[in-house]
Amino acid sequence: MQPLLTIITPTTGRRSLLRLIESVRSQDAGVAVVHLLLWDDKREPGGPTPAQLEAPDRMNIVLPKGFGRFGHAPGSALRSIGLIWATTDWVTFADDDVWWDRSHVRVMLEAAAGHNWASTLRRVWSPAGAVLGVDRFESVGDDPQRRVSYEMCDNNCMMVQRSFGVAAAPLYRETRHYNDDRLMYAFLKRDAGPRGRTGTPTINQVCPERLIEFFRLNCSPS
Amino acid sequence: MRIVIVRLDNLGDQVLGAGVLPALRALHPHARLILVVPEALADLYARCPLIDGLLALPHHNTYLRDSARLRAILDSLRSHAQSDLVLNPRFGEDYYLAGPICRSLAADGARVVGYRQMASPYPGYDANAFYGELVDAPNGLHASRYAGIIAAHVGASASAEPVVWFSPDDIAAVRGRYRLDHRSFVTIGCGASFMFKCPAPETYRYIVNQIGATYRRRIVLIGLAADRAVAEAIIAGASPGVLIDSTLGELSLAELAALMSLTELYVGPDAGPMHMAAAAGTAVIELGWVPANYPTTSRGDGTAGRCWAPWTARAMTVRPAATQFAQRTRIPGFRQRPIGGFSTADIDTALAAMLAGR
Repeated sequence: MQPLLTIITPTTGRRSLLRLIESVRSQDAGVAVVHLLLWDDKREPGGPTPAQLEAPDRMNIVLPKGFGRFGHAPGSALRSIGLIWATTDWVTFADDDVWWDRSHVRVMLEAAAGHNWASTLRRVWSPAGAVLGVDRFESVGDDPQRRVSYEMCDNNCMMVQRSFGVAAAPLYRETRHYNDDRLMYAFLKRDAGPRGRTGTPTINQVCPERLIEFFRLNCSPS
Repeated sequence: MRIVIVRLDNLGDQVLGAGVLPALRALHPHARLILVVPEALADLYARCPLIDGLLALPHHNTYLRDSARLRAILDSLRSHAQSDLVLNPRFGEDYYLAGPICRSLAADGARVVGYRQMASPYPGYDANAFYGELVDAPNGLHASRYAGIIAAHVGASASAEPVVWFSPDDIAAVRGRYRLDHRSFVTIGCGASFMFKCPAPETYRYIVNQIGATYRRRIVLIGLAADRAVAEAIIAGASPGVLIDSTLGELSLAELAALMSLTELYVGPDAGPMHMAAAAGTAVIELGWVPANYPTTSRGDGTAGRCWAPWTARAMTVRPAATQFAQRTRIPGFRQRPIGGFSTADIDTALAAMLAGR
């Protein structure tokens, strides 16, 4: 079966990467995917190595030392490589602190039907494992009920047609700020037509300890 | 198609909800769009290119307790061409009797759409009875969100963000009259709809002297003619050398919007001009009247805080401490008194974030 979707994961080999990989493997969409892991020289002590994670549907690209942080932009340059590398119709991102619901790919493909891009909602967890709620601020773009004045979708919440991903790759490659998803969202909103929306959370992400209250404030219970 | 938007609330709510107009215009480019607003705020829409007409109603105090006056207003509205779609985008309680006003403007079979009300401000008045479609939305969203939700309910897909309208002539007028250069001055808002939202004179004095002396910015005061005493006290308390001008009572709302687009920073209480500044793209320091732990609700008496914060990423809010707020609200008649006791350290932090290094 020809893969339909490339999943781009910049990583340092955190243990949580294994949870993501397992959740990708458990998808119920019935489509083939390619999982691309992008590394530079930075590694988490005790974490998996690229070689340990190689599989028929999972590939590694190891970039030169320091490639993963350009200015203040963690992972952005790695994501740009993934966007260019992809050969599938669709591309998406999944950071190594994310894991997917079993239905994620299926629901996203349904939402994306007839569109060039789609987004889903994100369930946010504390590092201790408590659900903080459903993100209503950085996975909702311009939705009327968003909780903040700015518009964005987190990288992990978006899926795009490859051609739009390729066109956006320079934005990821060249930004020196922690804003690649804002740039991507603005580009897609401007040029890619209406956004498909799942309207329901299908991914999970752990938020940093220092941002728990901020996230709690901007999440809804369900 | 004829669409009427009934918007009877105060200046801040008008600005926060104004995004419903571009959203509806995008959805119905050829419809006739009529806006119903209080006559004192009609000027806010003087430069709005999206509407085809405006009906100005007298202040609600003139008809709330005078049923004959209300009947006359409703009869007058019925005599206007009847509308196919009537929208009331206000989420909060219907203090203005917008329900019968909406109904009076509707043609037979028209859609009359409003938010489902959970409580009535007046005994025997059921606002829900006047609408054919009641929209439900979560309580506790920012007040600006409800325009977009109701616009989406009738099919609009464009986002409905707060907006103000002004013309190049308005900009030229305020620049010429007050000799203002773009982003060369800080605007301070004097007054709010309620005294309990207003900063005390000592707070204003501290802010003015910090902005004028430490940051060496010129200051422009804005507000209603009724707030001139506040402005005079501010000017009297300014340190020598601080450049400060008052425009109180001198600007139309379109000119105020133009001035807000020119200013480097707006500092003021939770009031309409603060929302105008944010909508004009200007950085804002809000002098909030409730602490950070104040309940997040968009409905009910005493709604404040997060739901009415400036709708911009370029904003900071300076708030009273929770303990101080609790003490204040225990004082009889606190609603008639301005807020004192802001932390000068908090004010300094906010001013530094907005003005230092620019």
